[in-house]
Amino acid sequence: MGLASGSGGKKDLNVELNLLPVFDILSVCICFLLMTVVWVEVRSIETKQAIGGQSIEETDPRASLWLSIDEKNNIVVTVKTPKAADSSSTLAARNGQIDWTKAKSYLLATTSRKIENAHILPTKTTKYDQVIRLMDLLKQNGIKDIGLSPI
Amino acid sequence: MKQGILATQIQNSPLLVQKRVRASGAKAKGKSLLFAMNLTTLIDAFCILVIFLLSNMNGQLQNIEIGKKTSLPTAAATEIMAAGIVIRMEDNDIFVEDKKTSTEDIVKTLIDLKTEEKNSLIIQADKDADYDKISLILRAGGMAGYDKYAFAVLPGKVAIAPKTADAGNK
Repeated sequence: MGLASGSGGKKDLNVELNLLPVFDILSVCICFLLMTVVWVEVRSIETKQAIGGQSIEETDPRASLWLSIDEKNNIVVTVKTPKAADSSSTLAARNGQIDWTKAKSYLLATTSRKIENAHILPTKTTKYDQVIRLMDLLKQNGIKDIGLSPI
Repeated sequence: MKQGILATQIQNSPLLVQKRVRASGAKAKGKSLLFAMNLTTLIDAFCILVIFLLSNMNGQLQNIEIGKKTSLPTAAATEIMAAGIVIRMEDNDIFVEDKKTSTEDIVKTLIDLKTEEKNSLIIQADKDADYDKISLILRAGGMAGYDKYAFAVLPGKVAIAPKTADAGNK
């Protein structure tokens, strides 16, 4: 075994590392991380104000989807294309609620038309949850820019 | 040579003192009750715990407090929440950055709070709220010069066909 040189004579060079300070640091670390951890993660759905904020020149010339929800939860979907006539169809409500199955299949069909813009026009009585679900459905179908119009 | 202060400060550890304790009985004769707790494994476990907690700290920039009476809507296609001014709606009350604000003062408050970093609105409302209340905030935000809105949601999948509707059709 190695011997310490110098005037000290025989000294063991094996050092026993004191793990207690490491243990303390790790304990403090764990306490801090446990206190700052986010248990309920809140995420977001982003949008921009659809109408009123821009001039005619600034208006996006691409094809867009306009979804207006009426008080009976029917959705009137209008596809606005810059060089063609608008086409619209109605997705009738089911049991007084938005027919999500119909809305999903309709939006899947419009995905092939490469529409990236959508505007939602709810009414006063439309529930916030339904607006969010519609926005979520649009995002899931590849529509990137979603506008929400105030009443 | 004089002994150093540190050398005199050395104290025997409690475990070392316990060395004198011996197990009783004929079989256990001569066996020490002393056992050295191995801290290395404990530190290993702690390290794993720290790494796990650190990896769970995702890039959520803003941790917003959800109101007790508020149940947020659920959505699947969500994004990480960026920094912004938080507007919370509870019943008929509106809170801007946790301060109760009247409907008349919202625009003024939002103008005052607007900075280069915080130029978007984070709207937090109950899922059963009517859209006219949300519209009020959207209009106020528009007047105050905000054009980006983030709706606070809980991540998760929403069933497309509600159970009640299915039951009614069958």
